[in-house]
Amino acid sequence: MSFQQHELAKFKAQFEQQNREWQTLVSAIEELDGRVALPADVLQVFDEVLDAGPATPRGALATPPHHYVRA
Amino acid sequence: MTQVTFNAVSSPYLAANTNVNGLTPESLMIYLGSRLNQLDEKIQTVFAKQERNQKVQAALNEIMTIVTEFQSSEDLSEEFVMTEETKAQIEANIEQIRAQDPQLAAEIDEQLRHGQVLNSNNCRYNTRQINATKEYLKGVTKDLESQTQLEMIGLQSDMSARQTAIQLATNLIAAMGESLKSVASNIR
Repeated sequence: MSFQQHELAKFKAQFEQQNREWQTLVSAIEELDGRVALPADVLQVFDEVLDAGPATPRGALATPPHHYVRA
Repeated sequence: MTQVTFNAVSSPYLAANTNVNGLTPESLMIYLGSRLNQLDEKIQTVFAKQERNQKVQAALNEIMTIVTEFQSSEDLSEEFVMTEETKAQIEANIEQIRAQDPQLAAEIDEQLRHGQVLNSNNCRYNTRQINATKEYLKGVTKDLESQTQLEMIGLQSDMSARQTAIQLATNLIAAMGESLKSVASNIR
């Protein structure tokens, strides 16, 4: 297998792994059962990531303020 | 390879719980799914192109191997004869390239039949034509490799963005879940 074939196989495996992570995420959201809300500017963060390629995620998102949680 | 469609249709729950007026996790997923679908189309296109390039490179290497084994002489004009079978092998490899990239195959066919090893109808060739063919094939291979490498860099960047977006969403939802548990335990 050439280097390029190896790299392509690696990317495909990574792609499949990401798809599994996505499905886990869907399940996690189902478990939350609509009991939480998200900060309004969160979409901008995803836009930054997807428009500009790899970026450092904002640290603030790792610990969302409690007032975003609807108990 | 499994193709996942990132939209609400894949999850009846998400479809039933989407609130377009507020930013619920479900609406985040719908939005993110839409963005990822666009990215996925791009990634799948590059995957397919990379696979085509690999097949083209294999066929080019095969032609190069055949030509390298041709007889040659210090007298660049001295003629030799290849077998009909050898000629058919070269043509078969050009056809394999045509199946992946018709434009490139047409160009290679044209070049090899004008001043290179497929120049003559009666399978005759000389060292000058061998050298010209080798140089031409090297150039085509090099261009293809450069193009492949550039696309790989782009693919790496897109995959990384996709990973970051999914990881970010996962961390966000996980943190939300933890916050929810914390609020619930405080109430108890």
